[in-house]
Amino acid sequence: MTAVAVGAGPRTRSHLGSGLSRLLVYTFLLAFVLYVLSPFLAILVNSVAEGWFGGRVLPAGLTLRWFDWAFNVTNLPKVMGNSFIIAGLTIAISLAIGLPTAWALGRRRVRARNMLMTLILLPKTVPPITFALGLSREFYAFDLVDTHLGVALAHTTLALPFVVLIMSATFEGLDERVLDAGRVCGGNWLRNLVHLVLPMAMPGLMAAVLFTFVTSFNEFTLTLVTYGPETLTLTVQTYLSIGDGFLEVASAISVVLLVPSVLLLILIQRQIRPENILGGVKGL
Amino acid sequence: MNSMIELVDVVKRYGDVVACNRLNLAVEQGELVTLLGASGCGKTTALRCITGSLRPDEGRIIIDGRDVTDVPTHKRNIGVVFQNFALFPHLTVLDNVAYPLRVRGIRPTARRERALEALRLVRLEGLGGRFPRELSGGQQQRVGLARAIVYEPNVVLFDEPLSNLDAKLRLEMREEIASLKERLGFTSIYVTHDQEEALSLSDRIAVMKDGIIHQVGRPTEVYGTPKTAFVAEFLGNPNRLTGVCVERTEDLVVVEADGQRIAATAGSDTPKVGERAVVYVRPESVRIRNGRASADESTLRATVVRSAFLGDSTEYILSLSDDVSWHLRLEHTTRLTVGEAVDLSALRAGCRAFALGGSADDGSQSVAPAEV
Repeated sequence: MTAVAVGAGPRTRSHLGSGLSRLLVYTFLLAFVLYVLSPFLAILVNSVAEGWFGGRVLPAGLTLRWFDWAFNVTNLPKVMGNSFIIAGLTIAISLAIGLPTAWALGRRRVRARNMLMTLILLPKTVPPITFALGLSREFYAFDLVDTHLGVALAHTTLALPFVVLIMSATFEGLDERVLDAGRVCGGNWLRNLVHLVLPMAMPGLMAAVLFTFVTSFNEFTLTLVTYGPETLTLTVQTYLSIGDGFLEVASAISVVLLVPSVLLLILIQRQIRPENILGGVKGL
Repeated sequence: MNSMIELVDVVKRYGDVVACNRLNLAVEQGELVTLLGASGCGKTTALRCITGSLRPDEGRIIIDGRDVTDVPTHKRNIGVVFQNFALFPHLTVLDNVAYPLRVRGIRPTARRERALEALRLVRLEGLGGRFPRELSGGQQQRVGLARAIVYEPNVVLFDEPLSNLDAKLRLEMREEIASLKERLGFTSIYVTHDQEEALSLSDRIAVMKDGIIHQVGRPTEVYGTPKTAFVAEFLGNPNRLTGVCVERTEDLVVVEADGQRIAATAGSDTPKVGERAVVYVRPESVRIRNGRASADESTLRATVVRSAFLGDSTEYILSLSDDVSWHLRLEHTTRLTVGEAVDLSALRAGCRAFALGGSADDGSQSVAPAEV
């Protein structure tokens, strides 16, 4: 959380130098951008292209057929609905577990704090497929496979670390004396929570919710072992379409899948800078 | 006795450290009592026990006749002005001040009116729409002040409210607090380490050290007749002389050090003849002797070691012996040169003698409640 947004400081012109060195810098920048963006470009083109095979530089024609297929053949609305429902559930569960945990870790002296943190981070550090294997066995035992709740619970294991990390830092940044002031002013814990803690923690909370949403929405490995016909998500549907040999349909679904991530990226760019998350809290 | 705030045998420990050791203090209606002491003396702990942020391990806290020891902070109905202002960063100035009214369920129009009135009292009208971060330190503390008095609590507590402000603002805010208290008549406990603040603002001062109240009294009392060596040393930046008691009558102690004799009034812990003793001398009771010393003055020889020009006066460091140096402020009408030998006169009323290294009963005695 100590990193400050790179673009925040005053820009200094001399940094890029002049002439040859500037040319070099721009060349590398361009190469990097192309490298990062080219897969997205490929998917975008693929989703509207007709006859774009082999060594062709440009597709033979443009069409919206693949989106049509995606919507009608693979029942995209329902799949999308599943993705949203599961993401929503994941947010709810992650916050329900994560907020009290983060409060305890951030504001109370917790014994074995580091061990707890490691434990929370564990699902993110082991190979996903290993974790998924164990998880699927449990889920079959508890009859959680192919339920929205089940998939959401699986996603929660990945989202929870985000929530705990972001929120414990946020809560840690709350000034105890300001909360003290709230109590002295006569606010009971509920009023102070609603009127003081919540607004002061809002930037962090927003970040936690958005990250949780994207984590769930984009999750693949754990979904693969917990989904069923009723809980098919966008990522799994993309995968299945690739398996079926419909690269164009898969691309069309991917484009839909990308929308929330891109929206989030824009939001982050605009709103959630590290200094806002903490700055909104430290006050003074 | 109808005290507004009462601490009865309050004890607070942090592990092995006793932060408050049987504190007894009664603050009368409309009175401002200062807890004065260096950091770590337990004054802030005591205050936090009164606000309810801490629960005392032993003893009771009584506010307005009600035992609040086990009452949570938000039901104690007190105002607190914090050292770091502790304003709500996400609320406007007006909403900050209105918060105590809001949680008391007062309707928006009424609370707006009362918050504006409180802002007028601290002369911040017109800044209600700003956010705390847009205000200067002094303005922020005024908001803190307004927030503490807006619901007209009987008790307003001050936790080093001026120590985050620069010197000029401190003076200004001191005036502000004094005049507000006069107008509103609240009862206060004021925590500070700044003796000037304490002396100028308080009705009474409780001087604290190591969790114990050494002395409670009016500013003139604790300054003029300190009961313990600590109080004498802590207040007024005195000169000191350590020696042996050579003569003692009912109200006079003579101490000899390195062949110099000084007559002092006796403190509560008066040295016996032959005992080691320390004499604290108020700088303003010392002058350069010209002519004869009067009967209530002692004469001491000293050499000028150093001088420092202070603008309106000059401070001289004077050496009485190898390891005793005093400081003395003189107006520019008297000029001394470094190396010059001078005779000093020390007024007996400004000198107080205490036994050294003797009994430690000074603390436990002066803790008794209701000193005045």
